[in-house]
Amino acid sequence: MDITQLIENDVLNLSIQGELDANSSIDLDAVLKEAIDRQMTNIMIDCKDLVYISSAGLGVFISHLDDLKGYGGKFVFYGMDPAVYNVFEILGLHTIMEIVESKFEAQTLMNES
Amino acid sequence: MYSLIMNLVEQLERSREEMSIADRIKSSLIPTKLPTCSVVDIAAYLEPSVEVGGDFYDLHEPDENTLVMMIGDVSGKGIPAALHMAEMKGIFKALAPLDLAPDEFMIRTNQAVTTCFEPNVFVTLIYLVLKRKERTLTYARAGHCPILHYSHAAGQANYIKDRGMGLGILRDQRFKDHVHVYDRKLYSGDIFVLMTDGFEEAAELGSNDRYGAIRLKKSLERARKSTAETVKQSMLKDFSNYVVNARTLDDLGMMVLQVK
Repeated sequence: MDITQLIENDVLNLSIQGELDANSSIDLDAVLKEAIDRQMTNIMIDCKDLVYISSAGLGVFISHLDDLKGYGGKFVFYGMDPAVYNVFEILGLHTIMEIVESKFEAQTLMNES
Repeated sequence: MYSLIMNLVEQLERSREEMSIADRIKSSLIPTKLPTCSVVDIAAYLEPSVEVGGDFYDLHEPDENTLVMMIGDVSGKGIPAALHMAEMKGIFKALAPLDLAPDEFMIRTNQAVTTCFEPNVFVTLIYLVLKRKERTLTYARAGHCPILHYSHAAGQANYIKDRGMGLGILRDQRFKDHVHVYDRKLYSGDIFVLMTDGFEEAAELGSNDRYGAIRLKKSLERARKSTAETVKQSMLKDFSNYVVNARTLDDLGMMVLQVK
């Protein structure tokens, strides 16, 4: 898995490429912790090259949900493959996380907050 | 040289001891005997991807008319997941005799998970209450793989797409709004297959192809349906034919309920 970070208009855009499994979720957790420490709490997750997410990977996002909310920030996911979306949907995460199709929609949601 | 060899011998003995402990944990947490039931024939399977894992199932009969069951999966793998799995079994053992409605069971279990588990740990679970006289199955799904249902009348299998949030995700009162209870009548010849996600997610070596929901559905439709055990064995055989050239990524858990 690779993570590419880009900051645009005070929003952190994390692009995740490959498989987010138990090992790579440790790297993702470190990236998110560092971002939150830097008060970067509006985070867009580009999922278009994310091919697989394990329970450990989901756990990383779940564990930071309340942190972000506490700072007035949030995650917005976009470009999700149907198979990856299905994992979020089965777990019920689609009802509490913001998941949109395009980067434009994600930016629009971020600007609303 | 001598001390190096002795160190290696000690390490090997420690590993053997750890594996032996893991085996004992594993066997002590798998129900030794499945209950016999006048309404459903039951078969179950559990296989961790490493020595021990986070998948689990359990059953309990609080009274003559009632059989409660659960199948679930703690996030993560290996010893940390197994420890949480053991806690889940403890929670079940404490709550199952109370014959709680599925929503009450889920709310109390979510409270326990919130109290006991780290914020990055969540649990998926299906909790079912079978009433023998009424021939009904009442259940709630907490983020777990949907139930695969074979309808004898229709001669085909389909996933039951119920709503329900995983445990440990919403760690406060909000969780109540994400618990949903469903009722099903039990018709003779119907089959309910409850699985953990290791089956669906098993992937072909060197490719992104996975065993997947459709193969599982076809596998159930093809299965020999004389007993729950033959259904389970047929589905496992189909799966093992696929995983010959695949890497399994996760633990495997399955319960088959065949309505008599």
